[in-house]
Amino acid sequence: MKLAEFRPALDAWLTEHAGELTPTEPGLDAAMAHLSTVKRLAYDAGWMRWGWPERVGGLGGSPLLRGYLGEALTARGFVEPGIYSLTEVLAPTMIDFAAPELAAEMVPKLLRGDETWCQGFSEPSTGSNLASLTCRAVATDTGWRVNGQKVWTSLAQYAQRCVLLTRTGPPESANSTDKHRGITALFVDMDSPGIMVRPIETMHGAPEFCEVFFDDVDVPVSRTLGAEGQGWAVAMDLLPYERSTALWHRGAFLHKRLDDLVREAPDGRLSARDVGAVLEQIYAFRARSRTTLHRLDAGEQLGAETSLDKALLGLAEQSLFDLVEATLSDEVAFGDSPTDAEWRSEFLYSRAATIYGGSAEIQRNIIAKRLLDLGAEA
Amino acid sequence: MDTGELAAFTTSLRQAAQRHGGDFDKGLEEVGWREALADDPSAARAVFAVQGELNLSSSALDDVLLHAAGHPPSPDHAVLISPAGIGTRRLATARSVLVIHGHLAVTVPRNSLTIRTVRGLDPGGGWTEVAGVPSLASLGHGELLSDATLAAGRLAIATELAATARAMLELARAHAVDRIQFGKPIAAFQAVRHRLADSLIATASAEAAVDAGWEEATPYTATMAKAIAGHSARTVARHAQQVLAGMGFTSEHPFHRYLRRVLVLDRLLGTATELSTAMGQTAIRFHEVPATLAL
Ligand SMILES: Cc1cc2nc3c(=O)[nH]c(=O)nc-3n(C[C@H](O)[C@H](O)[C@H](O)COP(=O)(O)OP(=O)(O)OC[C@H]3O[C@@H](n4cnc5c(N)ncnc54)[C@H](O)[C@@H]3O)c2cc1C
Repeated sequence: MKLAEFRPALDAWLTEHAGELTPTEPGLDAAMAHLSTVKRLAYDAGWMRWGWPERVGGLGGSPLLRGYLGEALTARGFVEPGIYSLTEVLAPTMIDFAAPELAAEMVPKLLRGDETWCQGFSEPSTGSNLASLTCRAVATDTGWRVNGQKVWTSLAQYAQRCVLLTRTGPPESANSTDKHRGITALFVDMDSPGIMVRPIETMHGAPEFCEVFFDDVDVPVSRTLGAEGQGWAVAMDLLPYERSTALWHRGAFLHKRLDDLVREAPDGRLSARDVGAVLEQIYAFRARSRTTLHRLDAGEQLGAETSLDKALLGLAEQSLFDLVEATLSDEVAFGDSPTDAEWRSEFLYSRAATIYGGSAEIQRNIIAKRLLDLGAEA
Repeated sequence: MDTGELAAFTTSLRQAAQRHGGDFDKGLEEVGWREALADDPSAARAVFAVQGELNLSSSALDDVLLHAAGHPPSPDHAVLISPAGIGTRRLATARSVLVIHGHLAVTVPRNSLTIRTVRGLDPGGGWTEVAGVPSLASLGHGELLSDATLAAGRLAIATELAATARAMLELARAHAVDRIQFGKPIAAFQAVRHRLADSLIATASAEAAVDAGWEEATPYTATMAKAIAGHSARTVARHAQQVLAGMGFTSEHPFHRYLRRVLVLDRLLGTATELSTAMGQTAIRFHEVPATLAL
């Protein structure tokens, strides 16, 4: 299947099924339930399977097909890209690192919308300095026993599984110079005894993330992703995915919301110069992201250069929602209609675009060191 | 041209530039630039990238605009871009001039215009001015230029701006790893690193927009490329200058020549801010933003 055939066929299907695909209720619970419905419909019709390898239930073909599917669903307002694109972040990692039988069993559940997965990386004392994580996994006869805590784990309250980074090296290794070595990635069932999930209220009004506590949680050895001690490689493999197809979907969302803004803003409120500047920022980000997707399509290994994409997303998203807040200032500040609440929530959420997935500063550190080869920092 | 041909053409352009120094017209003559352009407009991609990289000036922009407007490019035919009333050095020697004013253009004999070689901000650029640009009405019936003609010019300039941004970043990067202060290369300081990182972010977005313009040449992609490349080049210039500091402020250091060229190129065929404002205006008027870049 080529993108040129996929695009019109998918567009026609989306138009035909728009009724079932359009969300009707507000709130995160409803959005999650609707996401499952959309994925299920798209999976059964085949769309959700294109671009994924056959050995995990896919139909093969280029990742561009996944890029376009997420773009088309987002552009029509059928899904919210943040919750949709977690698939793009976590499924490739399973495909690259899980035992083949495990990937074949699990990935289809994620694609079909039967399950939600979460990403357990950050901890209370481990944000930017990810490699210093301390959530501990100790070897047992049958696998691992996990103790510790994760935080800001998006969608953990809905998740059946978690891609979890643990420290399997000695605890001191968390502070050593080779702290990257003692980390192991596990694929954990969220209904395992000993896991407690506590949703956290966020400033944008949706309990998007959670604290997750692990108290003597047993994980079978078959659930190790990659080899013991290879967890850093798993994390590094995952991050470029987070900054490719998933970002392309987010670009479609930004484009749509700018379009919504110029449709909805009362006459006379928008300045041509400001709208032009945001249009330009979004276009610049999308042009860059498009290049990255074409490199992925060509089979190139993505790496640190995707930090440029993430940095451009931060600039584009915040410039758009700065314009929203400046234009619809009364609506954002005082409005309580569902539309106003949505603009407000998205404005607030846009502040996180330079925090999650590696902060803006961390991206610039990576760019300086890895792309510009500036040597060590003082 | 495919990637291989483009690379080969680029190499021959660099060699020609080396033989002839700053006046790139001679080098272009030697590599048969106008024939290459007639053969395949993407030859301009290599020419303008090399101009940006090596800080060269030429009359290639005249050829690009003439070709796109359906006139055979020739050293005897120059282009005058109004309302600035500016053109390349070819204005001084050509026999006829295509005067461009927005979407209108008219060809006039050169000796009907009063020419002045501009020193101004970019004295090395060979820029030439026409004193008192005649109104189109006074020049008689002209022709209507298509959006595609202006787009070809904008994309060429965008290509040069993106390459100029890359070159300024490279100057600043090289300086940062070399220059020692407080016992360390200044590249070790996070404030310096982040300026350079921001420069690379801007450069990469300009390059991506220029690539998209060449891949899918439309008036919209070309206008976006010029707006993004113009803003990005200014961003890189600002950061690079700060990192180069005193050394970069001297006239021996090449930085200032790139900065000068950026500021002048931004003025041709619409500044970055004018172009993006015009796109914003259209979006507001039609209550819709233009279709997205397709994957
Ligand atoms: C909406 C949202 C969703 C999230 N979802 C998930 C998830 O699903 N899974 C998960 O594991 N995590 C998730 N996170 C956590 C996220 O990855 C972290 O917040 C992020 O890595 C930053 O860590 P921190 O908040 O501890 O900030 P810190 O690391 O404490 O940083 C604080 C500030 O200092 C700056 N700083 C830190 N180190 C440096 C440095 N070396 N140089 C320059 N500046 C520096 C940072 O840029 C930042 O501005 C989410 C966060 C948010 C906001």
